[in-house]
Amino acid sequence: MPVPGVLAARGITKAYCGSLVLDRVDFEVQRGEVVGLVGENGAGKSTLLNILSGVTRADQGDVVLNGEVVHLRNYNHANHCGVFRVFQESALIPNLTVYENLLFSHEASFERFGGVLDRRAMRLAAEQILKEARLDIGIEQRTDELSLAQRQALEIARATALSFLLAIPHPIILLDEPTTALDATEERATLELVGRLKGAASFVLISHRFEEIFAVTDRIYVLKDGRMVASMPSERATPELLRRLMVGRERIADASAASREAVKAPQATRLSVRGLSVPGALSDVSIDLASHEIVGLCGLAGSGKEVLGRAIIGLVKGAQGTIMVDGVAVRPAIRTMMARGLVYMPGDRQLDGLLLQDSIFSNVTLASLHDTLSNRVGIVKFAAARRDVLEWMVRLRIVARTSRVACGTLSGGQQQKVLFAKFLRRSPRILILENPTRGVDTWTKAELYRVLRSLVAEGASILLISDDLPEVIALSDRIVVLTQGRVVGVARSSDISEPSEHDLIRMMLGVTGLQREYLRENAGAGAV
Amino acid sequence: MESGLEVIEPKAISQPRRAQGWRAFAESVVPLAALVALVIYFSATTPSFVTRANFLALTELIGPLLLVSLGATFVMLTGSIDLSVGSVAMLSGSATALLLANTSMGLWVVAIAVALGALCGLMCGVIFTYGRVPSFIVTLGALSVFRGVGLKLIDGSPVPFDNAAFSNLAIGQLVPSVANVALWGIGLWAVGVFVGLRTKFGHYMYALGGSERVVRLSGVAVDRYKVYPFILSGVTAAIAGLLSVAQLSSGGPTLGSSFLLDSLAAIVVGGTALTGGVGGVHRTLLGVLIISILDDGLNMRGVGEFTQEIIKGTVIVVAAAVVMIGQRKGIVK
Repeated sequence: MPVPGVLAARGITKAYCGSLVLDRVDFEVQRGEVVGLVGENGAGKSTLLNILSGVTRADQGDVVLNGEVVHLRNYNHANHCGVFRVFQESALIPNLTVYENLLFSHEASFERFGGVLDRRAMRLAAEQILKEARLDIGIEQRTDELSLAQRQALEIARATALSFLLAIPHPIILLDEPTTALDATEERATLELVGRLKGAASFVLISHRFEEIFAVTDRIYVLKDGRMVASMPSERATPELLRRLMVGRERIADASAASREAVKAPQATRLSVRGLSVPGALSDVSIDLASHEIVGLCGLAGSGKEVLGRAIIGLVKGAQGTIMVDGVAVRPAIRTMMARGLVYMPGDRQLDGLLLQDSIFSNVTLASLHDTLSNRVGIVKFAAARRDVLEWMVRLRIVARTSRVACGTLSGGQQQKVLFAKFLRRSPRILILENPTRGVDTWTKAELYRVLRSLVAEGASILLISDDLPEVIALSDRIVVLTQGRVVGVARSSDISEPSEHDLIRMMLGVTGLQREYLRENAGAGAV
Repeated sequence: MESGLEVIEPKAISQPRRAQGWRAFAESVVPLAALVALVIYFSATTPSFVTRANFLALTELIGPLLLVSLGATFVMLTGSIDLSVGSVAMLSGSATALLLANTSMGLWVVAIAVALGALCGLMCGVIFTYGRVPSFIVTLGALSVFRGVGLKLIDGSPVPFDNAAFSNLAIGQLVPSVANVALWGIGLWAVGVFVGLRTKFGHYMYALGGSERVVRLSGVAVDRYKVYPFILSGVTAAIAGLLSVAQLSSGGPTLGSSFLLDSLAAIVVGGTALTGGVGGVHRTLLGVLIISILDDGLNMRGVGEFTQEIIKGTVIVVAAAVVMIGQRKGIVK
């Protein structure tokens, strides 16, 4: 019996270039439900969402909306049918205002005679929408001035807004890893928003973060290698169960202190940062990095850790301070650093790390062409390069038919592995990593952690700058906490104990921070 | 070894962004098919097309155009554009003609012309890279400046000279029925293909067309590599200019007037995107052949000058559309 707001997939099959991405997948969302979709990278989650939202067509199978089979022509058509999506990479146009973005592509509802837009009506509608979503964002603000979390919230609000506009009573909103790029507070805010909107809309949530899935979903589907292998009510799911279903074997030992191999005691100082200051971001930061050591760096948004990595390699204008590699003061410049065995792996692989339209081979060799992979005249050493790339593909288990595959077609985890290969192939002695496992599934994360640990065991030093507190805690020998550009604390890990997230957050907030929160909650009055 | 991992030998580092299925087919085969179709058409309908004399004339067209388009292709690969190529050719041609007419430098003028071209390219490249002026604007300005200088040099009227050795550089026939200028073109084209596909310089050109940020973060001296293609473009334009002068035994104000538009057309028709990152010198040859054969064939058929323009313009638009179809971005993840 047709029930409004039900979205279902029946027997969906899709293949790309001969490899099966989805294999007879069945999937269903009830009205008002939040359904979680988990699976390893490459399992087919995004492809399924693409098909459900009209972005691609399935080779076989049907999409069923409210009991009727629909053939979605494109995303706009899907909107009119009641399906909306918040994409993993932002779909907002940065130079437009908030209200323009909220209503983008559906201006037809606000057109007057002659195609002229009724902006007053648009503004009113936008204000109404933001009020209902309880979002404190000005409608006239330029979208690129908003924070990441605000943009994410805006995208979710946009999905509900459009359903209101198109007079769809029970929209279905697909969320593709919505909190990957957000920090802890922002993530909580997003999940709260989803919780609030739950009654009016149905959600499908793709996420790698189990806490998130358990917190917000009613039912969980597990996708593995293109097949829907399980579905269960969320109360009955546990992380171990999900991991086993996703991966098909006992969950690999988590990256915890207990399983850390005995590493040689840290030795000579490899990298020494003294008095690093960036006006408005960092203030007199000093960090030492020894060989065989991983130093983690954490902090809330605004702590300055976002610029630290780039400041060390000389990409930030106005940065001051001394950088010493192996005891020798070095002018901060990428090439000089790379020549001394230091690499910087950027946190945003799509914008800064990889040429998505180029092949794996192309990308892995890019950072090494200026020294190891070309001869003196500049001709590339092909045979050596080819052997090398294939070796790295095997070593990191990069799954692709050949090394000529374009990186843009790979999943997030695979792309991250390509990025690793690009920099690791230089046998770096010092690594500055930013969010090295962002948007990467558990299995791949463990693989990458293993790689990092073996590098350290061989003597490398790693500066790990990450938003992922469990990751920082699990990997680091020492954790440096930054708040508002200053080092406010250092926590050490030993074989027996490691700092907890709670400890770190307390350090990040500082005692005054906790006091302020307490006062605000209890006094009830406005901002402090 | 993981199962399913084939050991494939990449032919070049930068794979042109391959589209799937029929688009890949369109991208690689259509220009070639178009060329073959044109040759067949003109051969069938115009008897004077299939003569030795016409073949020679064709090579005299292809030579300079290929040269001019070579360096400009590299610039386009990085996502920039060089609008000054026609003017550099004219400037170099004027200087060459003057030197040949008034001094006894003889073949040494080649060195002067090349140096001049490099200088012009260097200026554009430096202003573009360090002055952060978009390449379109810089080279647009340069187009006028260089042309002005060239016209001033020859006072606006052709400068004839008489130097058989020099003229032979272009119109001699080392290979019977093939003008030397075409040999220069093909030779440098072959070098260009090798450089584009097998050297780090070539790879950086493609990469810059993809994302400058990524290249910078990969430890490459980006600024240097943003200037180089302009120098290259200046040099090849200068060589085209000097060989054109050799063809005519005179350097005049109209030299290379069609170079800019024809070279842009040839590059795009060949398959290099205006936005860069795709295509390359190996494809430019195809574009040059198509444009030259079109020019020559239409002339042979006696098609009026204005009609020729219409036809050429249509061909360019259709070709670019086909090239764009072949490059539609795939969905990421």
